[in-house]
Amino acid sequence: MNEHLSRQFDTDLTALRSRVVEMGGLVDEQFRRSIEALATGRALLADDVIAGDSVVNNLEVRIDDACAHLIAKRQPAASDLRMVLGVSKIVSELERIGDKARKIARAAAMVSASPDHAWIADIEQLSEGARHMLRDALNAFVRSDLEAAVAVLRNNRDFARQTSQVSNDLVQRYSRNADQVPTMLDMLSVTRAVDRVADHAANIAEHLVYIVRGTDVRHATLEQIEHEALSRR
Amino acid sequence: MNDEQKKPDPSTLEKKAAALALNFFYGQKQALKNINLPIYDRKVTALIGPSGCGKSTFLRCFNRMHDLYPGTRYEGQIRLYPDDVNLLDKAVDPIEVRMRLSMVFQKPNPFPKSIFENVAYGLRIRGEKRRSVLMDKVEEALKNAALWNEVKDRLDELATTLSGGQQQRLCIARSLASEPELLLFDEPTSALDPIATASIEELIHQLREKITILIVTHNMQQAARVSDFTAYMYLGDLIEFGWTDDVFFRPKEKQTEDYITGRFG
Repeated sequence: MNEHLSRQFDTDLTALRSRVVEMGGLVDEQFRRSIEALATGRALLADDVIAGDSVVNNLEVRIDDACAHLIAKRQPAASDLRMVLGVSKIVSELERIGDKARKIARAAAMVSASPDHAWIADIEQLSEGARHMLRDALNAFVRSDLEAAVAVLRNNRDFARQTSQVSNDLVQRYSRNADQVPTMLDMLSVTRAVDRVADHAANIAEHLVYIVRGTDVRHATLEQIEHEALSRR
Repeated sequence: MNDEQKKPDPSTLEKKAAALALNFFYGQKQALKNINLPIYDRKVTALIGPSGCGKSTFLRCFNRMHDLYPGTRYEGQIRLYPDDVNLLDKAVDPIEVRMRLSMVFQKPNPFPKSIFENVAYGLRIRGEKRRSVLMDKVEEALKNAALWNEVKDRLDELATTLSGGQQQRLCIARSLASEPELLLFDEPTSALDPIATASIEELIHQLREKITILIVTHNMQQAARVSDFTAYMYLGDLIEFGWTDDVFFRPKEKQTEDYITGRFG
């Protein structure tokens, strides 16, 4: 893409994009540490993650504010407008990932009181997969790479199968034992949170299709999105 | 997917006019190159593009203003509907053409006459002498130009005593009084302040219910605000034409994208 006649406009847009990546790195780290707190039972680490969520929230508000100011001052059109609107949507996905990290950190104390090592191993593996998707989605955003975005969406479909498998295992193992049901519910909610992180990463990939193509694919099927994103223009 | 963004296929709309394979030359220099552009009935069509792209030249073909200068030459046609006459046909009298079309210029150009006489001018030329008819038509035109309330008690004052924005609305009223089929605006707000500009834009919004409008503007946001269709021109070529919503949100051509996002240069 050529540069704007207004260099300041380019500077503002570049700054906006890099703040999204900065926020992405922060929520990825929050999420990673929430899983670590869960696996190790380190309460201080869990507290740290919970406290860190306000930084994520502040960043969301500040980036959204920057988007609003850019619209007010520059009246962006076409791809610039879609970029600003898309950034605003992406940061709200990132903020939600931050919420999931906080939720997992809160559950860590309860779950690690009587750790289920098999499940924890599953969760560690799943969370690595979710983090991969998040980073792939952010890299796709940085490079405006629609093929990479579509790959994230494909991965998410497989990922949902894996998480529901883990949830089903939990229910099978615990539901016959009434006094362990509360622990099971905590574990289910963590499993669900990890699944949601991957969903938010997939949403970021969808927002990228909107930014690049101008088509809102939030409620489209994977096949429709593939067609929209990968057909030659 | 995106059902709400789907707009009717323009080919189903009624046309008020259409440029067909239109070329235009200032001497040897070709200023318009094979322009094919429909002007849809009771829609606002905006022409945008950098200086020298041919947008004003194109607009001036409609009322044969180029006929006033030697060495200019038209090829192709501009057809006016529903009677399907070629405005550029040598057999068509330019004066006739200008009676059916009306142009509002960049700078307000009221005649040094009273407000009333400015608006009544076109009617008088056509031989209307009855005071009551003139009065009714002037009042209607001034109301349609959203100026009536400001001038109704001072119709005999000189038009040049009005503010710039009022003068421009007076020129629009003068155009409307002769009941044109197509209203041509050549940068109608570039000499006006933001308040006067907003009032003209609001007026365009109201007028489009009754009349077809073709507007040339340097102000891209104005094109985005007031028009239904946008045509982007560059160096005499028509680069892109489509619904304004599409042209400003996801243009098909990279050249259009670069221009409307301020990357042109």
